[in-house]
Amino acid sequence: MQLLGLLRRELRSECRQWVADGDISEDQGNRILARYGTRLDDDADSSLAYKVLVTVAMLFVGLAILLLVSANWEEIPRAVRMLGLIATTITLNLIGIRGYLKQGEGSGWLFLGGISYGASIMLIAQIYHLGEHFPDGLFYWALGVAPMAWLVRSRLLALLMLAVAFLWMGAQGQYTPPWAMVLFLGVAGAIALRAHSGGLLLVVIAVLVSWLNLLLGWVYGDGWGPDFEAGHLSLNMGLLALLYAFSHWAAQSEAHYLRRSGSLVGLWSLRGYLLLLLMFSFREFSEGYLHELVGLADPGLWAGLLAALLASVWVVVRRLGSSGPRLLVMLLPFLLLGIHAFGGTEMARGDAAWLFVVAVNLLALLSAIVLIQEGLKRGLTQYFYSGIVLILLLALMRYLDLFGDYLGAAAMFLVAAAVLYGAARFWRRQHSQEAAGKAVAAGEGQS
Amino acid sequence: MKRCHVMGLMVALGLQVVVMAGVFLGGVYPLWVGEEIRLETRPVDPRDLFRGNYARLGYDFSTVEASDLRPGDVVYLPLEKQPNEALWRGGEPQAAEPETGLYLRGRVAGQPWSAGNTVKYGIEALFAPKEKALALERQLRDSAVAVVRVAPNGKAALVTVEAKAINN
Repeated sequence: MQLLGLLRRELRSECRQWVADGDISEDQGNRILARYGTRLDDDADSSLAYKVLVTVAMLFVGLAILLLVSANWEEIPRAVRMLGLIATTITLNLIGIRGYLKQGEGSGWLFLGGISYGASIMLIAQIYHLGEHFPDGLFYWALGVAPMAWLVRSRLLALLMLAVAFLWMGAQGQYTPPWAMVLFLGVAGAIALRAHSGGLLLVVIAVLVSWLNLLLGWVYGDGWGPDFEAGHLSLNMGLLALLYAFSHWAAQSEAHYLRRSGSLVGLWSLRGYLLLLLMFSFREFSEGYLHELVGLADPGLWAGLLAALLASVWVVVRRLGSSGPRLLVMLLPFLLLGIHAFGGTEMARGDAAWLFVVAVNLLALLSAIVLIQEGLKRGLTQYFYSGIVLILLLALMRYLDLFGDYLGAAAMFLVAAAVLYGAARFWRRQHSQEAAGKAVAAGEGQS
Repeated sequence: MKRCHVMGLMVALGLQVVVMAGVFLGGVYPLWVGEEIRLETRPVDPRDLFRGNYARLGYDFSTVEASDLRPGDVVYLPLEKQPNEALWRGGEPQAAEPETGLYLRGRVAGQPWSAGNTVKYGIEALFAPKEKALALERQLRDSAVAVVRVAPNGKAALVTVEAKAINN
């Protein structure tokens, strides 16, 4: 249901066809589309095509400006080059501001102005051979675009600011923890909420997750630079649970853009969860992870635990999601504590690691079953096919890596087959009980 | 409300102009007030994704053997003029700003490697078109002299690179 919101354009087109064929009335068509934040006469399609083409054209002009800068046009005197680019930046921004104040538009010009501004910084650095610390240039670029993006609530400018800030984070993150990302993430998040942009919100979340991972890297690096350790996986497990809670909270919202971003976050958190499961289902990977953990003092544990606890409280208090995944989220804090208490010990270094791998493989199998069931029950093809793909990948990988040698792998396949068969039987029985219940209710209604 | 909004937009544009002016003044300040010195250098490697082509310049004092320096730390390098030479050389780098004499202000770049820490002083990039950058690299491969202007606070700006070492 939520996922259909992502296909609004297709839905609108289908609905128009139904109305044209006389299958439904125009009023019914509008009522159906209103559930997904659109209507029959929504002309977003044509304006979207226009906006996309103009944005791409603006981007090309921006790239041309950057290439001009990179070409080292030495023939023009230094002062003329510099003043020319500064004048171009001011002119482009003034045209954008004028358009914004007159018609509420002009973000394309401001976007170009933002690129021209960044190019000016780079050019000045080039003219005067400034090369001490190039991330500073990126920082000033993002910093200069932020107030303009905030004032005109432009998604385009916010994306430009976030893209430059992300590059700065990667470059500066090698020297010091990039604390100033709080500012850029805050501005972009606020613009996403004020401009009702689900896409921008999703980008903010993705950058936020990267930033948190980098900060944890600095905690591990002990002031010398970011180090990426096994504890990062624990943090990301907690963050995935938090994203799961967010996606279900957003799905219940009145605001369409929140519902849309909730659908997208839900999809990507599901994919992230499945990817983690598949990685941990390899014995070498799990052994390496357990071996590298440093027990309960691991900063990754506490960062992941904080996120997992927040997610648990959120899903319990607001009763978010269906019971299976909710239980998994609620158990995650204990699971993380257990894994970290076990990891790094002599037991984890020994043969006991295989128990962990078996548990992960069974969890993956169970997840696949739940996904297939949920997919069919709620009519969500994404869930259904994710479950099918997960089961097939799991089977293929275990067949190829022969976990526990031939006999061990054979035993595992048999256990998996028994679990699948049991689940199928249980499901069919439940389905027939529901059908019988409906028939009884219908009979009572007739009598 | 609209007046406030217009003011805000103008302030936002003004901030961009101020930043551009700040970057310009920061770059040009040592050229205006600095003392001109010459340092021996070696061109290394061209191309910057954002800023075009350049020859990267290495100096003897670009690598510092100090185990307690962290990425981003500020380092001061006292400069000493060689007797009977036009060239200046770097002394022992230190964490505290020298009270007298000419010195360079640098920053530790990246994590330490086997030879020590790399320190950048803002005079490591000579921007030029691709062909010129490559030609400079070939031309200056054996011996080159960087002409640098150093401000009283240690901030330096590269003026140019010359092809041969200058004695006296």
